[in-house]
Amino acid sequence: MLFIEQDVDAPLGGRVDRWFQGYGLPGSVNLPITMVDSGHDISSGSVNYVSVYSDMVDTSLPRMPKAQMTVTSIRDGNLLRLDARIGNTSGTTLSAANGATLTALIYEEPTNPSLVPLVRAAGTTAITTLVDGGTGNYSLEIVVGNLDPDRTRWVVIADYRPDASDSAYDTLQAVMGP
Amino acid sequence: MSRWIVGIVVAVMTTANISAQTLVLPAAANAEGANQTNWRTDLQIKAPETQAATFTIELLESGKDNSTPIAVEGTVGAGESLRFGNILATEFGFTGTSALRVTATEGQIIATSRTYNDDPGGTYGQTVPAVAVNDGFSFGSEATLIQLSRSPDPAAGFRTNIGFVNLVDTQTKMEIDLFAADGAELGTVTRNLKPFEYRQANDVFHAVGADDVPDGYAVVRTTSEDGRFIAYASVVDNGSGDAVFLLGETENTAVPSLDRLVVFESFLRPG
Repeated sequence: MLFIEQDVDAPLGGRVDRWFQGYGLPGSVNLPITMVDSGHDISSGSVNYVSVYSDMVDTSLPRMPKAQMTVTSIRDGNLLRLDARIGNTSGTTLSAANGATLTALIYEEPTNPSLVPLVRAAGTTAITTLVDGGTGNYSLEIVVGNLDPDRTRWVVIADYRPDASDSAYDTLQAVMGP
Repeated sequence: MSRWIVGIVVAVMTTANISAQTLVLPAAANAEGANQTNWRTDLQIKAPETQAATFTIELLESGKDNSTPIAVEGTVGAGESLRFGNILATEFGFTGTSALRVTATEGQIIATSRTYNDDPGGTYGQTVPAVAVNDGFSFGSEATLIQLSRSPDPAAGFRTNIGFVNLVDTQTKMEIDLFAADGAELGTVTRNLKPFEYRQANDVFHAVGADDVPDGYAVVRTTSEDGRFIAYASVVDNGSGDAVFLLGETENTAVPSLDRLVVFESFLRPG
């Protein structure tokens, strides 16, 4: 379980777009906006935070992953390289046709452990044609600037749009590290 | 925004980090029952061979707010076992029904109990095991009780009592859905438990108008978001008074997939 947040006015990694794709409607919404599973479940505005957010988490936790994924990372100065290996178990071919994407969100572990980390850098790459049962390797190189090497963390999220008639995405799998 | 998210984390941690060495015996008695029965409870506590243990036993009285329970303290030597005969009377001077909460303040313990009819011709009764507080059911999970029964004949067959222990310091609303063996829903019983209250709902099938249930089951849940509880059934033979003690089982609790990471993302405007 990972809680992470972003500045809605300077979103990174296209993640806020995932929220709106899950929302599916044009127009403005009230902050805060939140999501699990890449927008498979979302909320917006003033709600009973404990109840609504807990429900989102509790509903998501028992869901089965739709991919196997391992990720390794190498930091070289202000560059972070992430190498992901994905085994597709979604039951469908992952490709541009269903928006299959690998997204890396980079953050610093807060010095105060009770705070939620803020995304500081991000990168994405498309998952090219990967048949069900197949395995693919993907790399991301992300400029992480002067983020404290000792506190730099990443989460890599693989997601896709399971229903061509619906803009909403769903997470295949996610891995955090180091 | 951070505070809201942190609040959820704290709530989860609060319910998850209760000491594993806090155990609850969900039912105990020092009381007269129907048909001239006299119910008693013996408690057994043991320390491992490697270390002595000190412990506190707290009385969670039936039908009461047990935020400040009566307590006794004890010590058990390494590798030793202690038996407290008729513990409600001998240690607490209490007459009635209750649950018992046993906390190892130093070291580790295991505990169990027996609640029985102290009949002059011999005893009979049921083993009531200790349940770790961490193994209690929380909001969103359900305790399923099977092997239940209810006979319309008060002298034959069985009746079913269902009991709960509220494991948190707030009021907790409980629901018991009752079913026949074929899954037909028979009705729902509700209770509102005070902090740390122990309560038993007697003859629950009769309470919903189902007087003849040869084979049934119950699903127990809390509708309070901060709720956490233990549930059991005591199925009593109407003819002999003998009873079977059944703990709630997990059937459809949401269990996190071991290899799946859930990412909760929030977007806000700083400041």
